[in-house]
Amino acid sequence: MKLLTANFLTCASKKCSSSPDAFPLNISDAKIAIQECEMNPEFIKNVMLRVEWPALVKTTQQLGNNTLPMEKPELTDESDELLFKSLHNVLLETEITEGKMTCGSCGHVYPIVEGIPNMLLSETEV
Amino acid sequence: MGIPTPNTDHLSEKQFWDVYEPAEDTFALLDALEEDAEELREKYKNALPIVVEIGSGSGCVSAFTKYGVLENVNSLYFSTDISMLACRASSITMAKNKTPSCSESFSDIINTRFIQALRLRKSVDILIFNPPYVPTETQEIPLEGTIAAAWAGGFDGMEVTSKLLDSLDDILSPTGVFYLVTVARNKPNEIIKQMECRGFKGSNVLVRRAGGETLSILKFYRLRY
Repeated sequence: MKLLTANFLTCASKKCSSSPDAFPLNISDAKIAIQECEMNPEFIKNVMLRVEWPALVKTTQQLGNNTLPMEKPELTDESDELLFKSLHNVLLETEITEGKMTCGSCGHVYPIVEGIPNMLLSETEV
Repeated sequence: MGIPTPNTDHLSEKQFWDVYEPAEDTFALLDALEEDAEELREKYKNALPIVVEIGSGSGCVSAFTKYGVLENVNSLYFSTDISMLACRASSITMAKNKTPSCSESFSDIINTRFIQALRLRKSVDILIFNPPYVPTETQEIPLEGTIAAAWAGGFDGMEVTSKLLDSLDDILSPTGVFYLVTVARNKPNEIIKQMECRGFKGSNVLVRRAGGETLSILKFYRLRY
């Protein structure tokens, strides 16, 4: 799964849906693969409109990458190329192939196996 | 030249025998999506739409939509399936059919029910669902992702579809569109009538007889936003 996907995942339990601790899920024991691809500044600018910035920074830091600024940057065509590059790297090139995502509210652990997050709860857990 | 049908050769491997293979219902859905390809490309070319296929199974529809229907359109594409095996099959299908021009765009596969655990409230621009629509006993609907999850639909074949229809208002973006596969026994005209009461305009965009059943592809928008 892509690092960006973590910005769209939360605990599947209804009880956690309103808890601020359920998002983002805390990533641990992660194996990372970098899939290099060509940078598309338009895509990055558009995707920034969809991203929850503090959660993205947190996830990125949990993966040992401290390159993102704490404040959400305003992107323009004149923005620092290094910023574009690190966003591109974080948002599109970083794949989490194995790992765990833990809900900070209920403690449920969601495994990532062969790059696919398993977000299933049993019927009773939902 | 039509959009090519994605390569799903790996489904013949023994490990994927329990994944639903592309069949008449799949192809009817592909044809309905292809019919709308130009309209969707035009609508979303600069908008980075969020696209979700629920129950992606083999991944055939997701690969077709991501790399064919939405060719040259940047999108955030999520495919989900209750079966981990289907997720793996989808993952391989996506990788196999990736076109070089789409290297920058984004897709991922999530093992979940419907879109549980995904934070996409009222933000899905294109939603696609080929549900388990075969009428069965309710208890035949598996709680886990076995092959029966691909077809067992409970009463009228509508028990799984109804759950999704109940949450459509929470999922679809204001201008979103939803494509749904049904068969005659699901009473597609009834579905359209019921959804109209819930604020959705539905139409039956493709009807096809296949084997013993009549397939209908339904398409829904919000009536007002």
